[in-house]
Amino acid sequence: MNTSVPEVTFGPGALAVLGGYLVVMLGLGLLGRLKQKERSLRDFYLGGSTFGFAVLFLTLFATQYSGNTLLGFAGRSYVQGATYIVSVTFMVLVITVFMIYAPRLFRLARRFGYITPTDFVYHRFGSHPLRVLCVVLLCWGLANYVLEQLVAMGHGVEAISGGRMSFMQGVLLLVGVMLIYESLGGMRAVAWTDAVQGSLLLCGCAVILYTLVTADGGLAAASEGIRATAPERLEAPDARGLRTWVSTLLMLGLGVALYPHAIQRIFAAKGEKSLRRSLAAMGFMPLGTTLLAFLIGFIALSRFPGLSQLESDKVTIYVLGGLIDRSPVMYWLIVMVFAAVVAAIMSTADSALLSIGSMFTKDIYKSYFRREASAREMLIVGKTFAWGVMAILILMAWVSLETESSIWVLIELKLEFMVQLSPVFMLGVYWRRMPASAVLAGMVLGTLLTLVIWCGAAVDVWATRSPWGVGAGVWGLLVNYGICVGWTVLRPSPRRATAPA
Amino acid sequence: MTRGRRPEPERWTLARWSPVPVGHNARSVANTKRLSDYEDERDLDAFWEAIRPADEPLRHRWFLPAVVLILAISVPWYLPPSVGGRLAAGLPVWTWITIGCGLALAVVTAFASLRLWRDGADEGGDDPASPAVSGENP
Repeated sequence: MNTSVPEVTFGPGALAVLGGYLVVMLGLGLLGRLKQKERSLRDFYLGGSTFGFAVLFLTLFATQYSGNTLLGFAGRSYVQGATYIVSVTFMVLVITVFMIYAPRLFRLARRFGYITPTDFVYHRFGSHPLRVLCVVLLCWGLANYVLEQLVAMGHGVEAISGGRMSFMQGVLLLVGVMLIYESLGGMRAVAWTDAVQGSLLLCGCAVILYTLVTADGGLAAASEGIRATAPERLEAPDARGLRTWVSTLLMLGLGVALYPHAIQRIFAAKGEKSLRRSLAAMGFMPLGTTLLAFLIGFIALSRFPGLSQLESDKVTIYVLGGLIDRSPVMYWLIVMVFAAVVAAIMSTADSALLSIGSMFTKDIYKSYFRREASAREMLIVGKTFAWGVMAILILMAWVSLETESSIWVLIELKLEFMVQLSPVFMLGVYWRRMPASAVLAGMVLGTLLTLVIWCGAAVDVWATRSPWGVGAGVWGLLVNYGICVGWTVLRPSPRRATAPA
Repeated sequence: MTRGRRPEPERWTLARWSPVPVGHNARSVANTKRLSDYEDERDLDAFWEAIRPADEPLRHRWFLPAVVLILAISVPWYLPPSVGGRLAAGLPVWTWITIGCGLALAVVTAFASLRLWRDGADEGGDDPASPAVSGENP
């Protein structure tokens, strides 16, 4: 076990920067409230679908790149070594996957006024069980996603306050600010704060990249260090590693493209041109951010070998912490980077929470409990539900702190289930013949298979949750697609079945 | 003289506080539909009529094969694991191939987004919402 990780010792100035940042966020929340045009779900959850290129791009960017990117991905790169370069490809692939269904979904959203992704599901398939299952799986994934952000929030504030604030104090402070601005201004406030947070993140990433490449011999020294201590981490993957690579590409490439808060940003676009330009720019972002997270983990591997799984989540903090004493300029740059990390975490958590509130309100409460509910009532219910979910998640974050849970385990749990919605969107927008029954059967069996593989590994019935190097969720997805396609092709066509003999 | 019956005190029941009709209260509340009763709000002909943009990436035959080819090259299946010992600019040579493929995929994606996707509607020109399906302000 390596014990030479640097202590991160920020002064009170860093806390002042954090405080100033949080005040700006609250101000933007208030501004979002003042700019509200009407008390409607569309205005609250989609900002009235008025986002042009700049805001749309920055909100997509800040939402897609989370605390997990800078902390979790770097930790994974530390554990896995050079093969985690796959993260660059799968984050670009996410945008490529949007190219398959976004043009059609965008048209439908504008024509029919969708607010949640499951509006599309119900409109396309007309199945209530399918809609409810989709909401459950998406909310499950999103709740895990928010939980992961909370864990990152705790680590981030703990670091930036130099230990003056504890993990839980950090979580409570940021969640409090986030809930206030989100409840005040809805999506409009979230997108505006995302714009600030995205700009901060872009600048922060540029600073880190420059620092890493120029300080302490840069990448060459890091590679030499790894070659001396863990040369196997530089190697290309073997046969099993290749299968894991492809499995990771499929699960993250297809799964991340189904994040409901990302899909809702498609709905929130002012027009097709803004959306097309934003997505085109987003395609290049992994080369700055995901690649950066990979490099941080790579460099940490050479400098701090032997960290535990939990400590690997903090390698970004360790790597940057080792630089703050170099000069006053570097100190303030690193403070800015930490503010960017906190920004990335908050921007993702607020979007995911807003999405959970919208799906519960629109797809469950309005559809099955109170058909006659007014827009005002639904907004109150959505906010209350989001606050309740957040309270439960804070409790779970505290538990995860006590039980040494790693961020990466949480990510896998969310995507393994969320990716099961892939046929709904990928095939659903093209294949008119595909019935709800096929999609529902595929999703149920795919999810069950994933659960069985996952739980079997958890209780040691079998050794791994990635049989043959392929993740449980991908096995479930293969079965899911197989059933969707097989059921649709083999079932008698409705016209023939009802025709007289 | 007959004494009128005193009204029974209201009893606290779960059903009174439930947002959904529960038990005998279900009959007294307007919303008595079962899940399967909600068969309105859908016009599939309008749905399939509205779904096709003027142009989209998948209509171009080269798009999907190009994506698959780039992804196939990005996975280093054609290199032995021991190639990791060779470095270039501080990283194993084989990782640069994957990074290059990431860049190529980003270029293809950006091209598809900017050149192969045409919705047919102007910026902000369309009516953004139809209350019929959004269920908002019905």
